[in-house]
Amino acid sequence: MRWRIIPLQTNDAFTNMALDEAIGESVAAGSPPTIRFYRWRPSAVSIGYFQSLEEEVDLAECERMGVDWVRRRTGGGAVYHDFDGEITYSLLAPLDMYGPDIPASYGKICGYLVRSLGFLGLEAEFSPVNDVLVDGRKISGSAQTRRGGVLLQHGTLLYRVNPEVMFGLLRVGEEKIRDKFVRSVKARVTSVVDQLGKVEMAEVYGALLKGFTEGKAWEYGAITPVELNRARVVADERYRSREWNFSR
Amino acid sequence: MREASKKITGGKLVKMRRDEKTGRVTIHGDFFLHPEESVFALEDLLSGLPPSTGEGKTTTLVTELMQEEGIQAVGFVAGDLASLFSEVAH
Repeated sequence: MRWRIIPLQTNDAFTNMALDEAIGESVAAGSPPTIRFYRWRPSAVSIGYFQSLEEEVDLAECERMGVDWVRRRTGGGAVYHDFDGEITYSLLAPLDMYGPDIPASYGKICGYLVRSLGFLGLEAEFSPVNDVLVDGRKISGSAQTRRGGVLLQHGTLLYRVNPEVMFGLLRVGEEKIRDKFVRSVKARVTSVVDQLGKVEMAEVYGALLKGFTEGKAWEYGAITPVELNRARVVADERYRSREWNFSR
Repeated sequence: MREASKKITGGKLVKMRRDEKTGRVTIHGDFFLHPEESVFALEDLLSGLPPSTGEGKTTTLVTELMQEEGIQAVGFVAGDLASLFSEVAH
């Protein structure tokens, strides 16, 4: 089966999440397995399915900084998607391509990230359940859901990280604790720029593209009008809605 | 409202809250559960248990529900939810 690769594009948070859902429905209906790469503009915080938005995110600070927020359909933690700081991927494929073993499928897909980082000269390793580390520090996190016979795994690769901004947007307790937390995060999180110094985002995207497609039959494709229309509906009805975002 | 939390495999957090007036239990955190909506069935089960329910009995009931509904938790087991329930219920 030939994969459809949707090249790097930029959307708002609600459209990005809705596109995953719309493309998932399309793959369930027989469209080819799809990998897409994207950025978030405005920058946004996404929270995991089981998290509470008000508990995890400083909404007033988000408002002040012009940062959107959205609840994902996948579990996992809160993530700051900085437009200048990361590239996100989504992989959507029939479940039988990756099998019923969830941890194993994380390992396989995160292996594409490990390979991508290798193309940049970085020695990375998969750290179960859902992280990729360089130098013992997290450079990528992913989350997975399985619906309608389709696996969706999406995740981020940190290009450049600014813990002060990131944790100004996330609720981590009092300032004293936050300072300690920022220091601890600096010790636990890294980025491609941290590791390599001057490197263009285009080069990182090129490595991701190669890492995700190597060994696969694939071709570039676009989001279809049907998917786009469906995504517009889903973005409005679910991801922009207060009911969805504040449901826990 | 009583709350208890537990770190599970991979450093994830499972947090449980129980409203002492209504007995309503909710489960929060950065964990993974498949299908995601099955969290409501788990919450309903725990909300319906008397606070005096022993940890062993709760583990059995949660395990049975997970098996019946094909619920897969990544990084935690029924016993983790049972021990959290025991904390918030007492």
